[in-house]
Amino acid sequence: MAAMLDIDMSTIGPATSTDTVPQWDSVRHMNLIIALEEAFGITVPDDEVATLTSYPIVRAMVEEQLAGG
Amino acid sequence: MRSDGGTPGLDRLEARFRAASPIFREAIAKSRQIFGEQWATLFDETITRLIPGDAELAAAVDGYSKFALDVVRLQLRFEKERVYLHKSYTEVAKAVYANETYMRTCYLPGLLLSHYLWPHHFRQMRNFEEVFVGEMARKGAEQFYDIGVGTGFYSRLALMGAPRATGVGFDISPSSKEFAEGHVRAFGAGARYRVELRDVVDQPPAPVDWLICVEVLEHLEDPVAFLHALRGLLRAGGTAFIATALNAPNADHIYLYRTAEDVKTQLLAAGFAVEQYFCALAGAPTHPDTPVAEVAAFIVK
Repeated sequence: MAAMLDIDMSTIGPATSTDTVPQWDSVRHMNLIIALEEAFGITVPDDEVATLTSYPIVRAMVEEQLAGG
Repeated sequence: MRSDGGTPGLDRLEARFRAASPIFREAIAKSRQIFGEQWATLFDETITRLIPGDAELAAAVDGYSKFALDVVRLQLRFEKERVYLHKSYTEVAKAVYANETYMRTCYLPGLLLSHYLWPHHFRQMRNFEEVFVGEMARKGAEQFYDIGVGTGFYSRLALMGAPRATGVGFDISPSSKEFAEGHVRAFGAGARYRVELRDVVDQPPAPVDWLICVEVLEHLEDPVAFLHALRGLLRAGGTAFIATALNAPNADHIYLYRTAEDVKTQLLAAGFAVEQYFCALAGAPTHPDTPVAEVAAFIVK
């Protein structure tokens, strides 16, 4: 996530979101989605792609997908 | 647009993007910076006339977000693989054109907003108004066809710029027909326009002097056969505006044009004489050899 959004990994936490990362735009966002899909072997549903706007939401989505969900 | 020069429709849209789709929160500010207040005024008028209610605005922002993110995903894939995802018209027609829900909630609102939010779309639209519609107006154009109307954008511009003209749009999608006719009505030109659900290759209408066909060729398996049919719809001495997308892997693009020259070769093969053409890129490439989506618009006789 840090690499895709071009931020320091140590800064990622509950407050990491589109509000706190100014460069989080549509291209970085889609690079992040694709990287998550490849890294975790998941498919992010189309309806959820635009809603993944913070680290907690992204993490919850990945956990849900890994749990079969 | 208000008489004091404010842009309340555009301000509403920007607020909605910030609240509901923050990934695109800078899209309006960026385009405003590139194109200035004239752009803002034109976009504001479109929003005010076509998306007046809050619920419609929310749906349009949601539709645009899905549409644009899908395009970004496909563009990133295309940069690696250099081919389009779909090969067959039947496959795309089923997934997109015959999917009424997708057409109404995502494709058409997304396409509508992209005319202003994507720099190459806006530049192409302005070129159309200046060069093609300008000529229609000067020559007192009376009738035009718009083949593949989409949102009805180019029909509307032709009707507004050439006040003596009546137009007929042709499309295969009932959603596009409804959207385009509503679009034109909202700008007060409904009495001079209608859309027919018709495949003009199988059932060609009588030829006219003015023909518009924007971003249809790349949706087809055999664009040359379609261009031959299009040539038959243009009277001798008539003028056509034919635009296409290059290196643009949208979900419903099948035929990959890599350069404007590819399109020009097909236009010549179909019997058109190319008078001039205009190209605009979606942006600068991230690397020198990375393909960038582009539009190429031809004025042909």
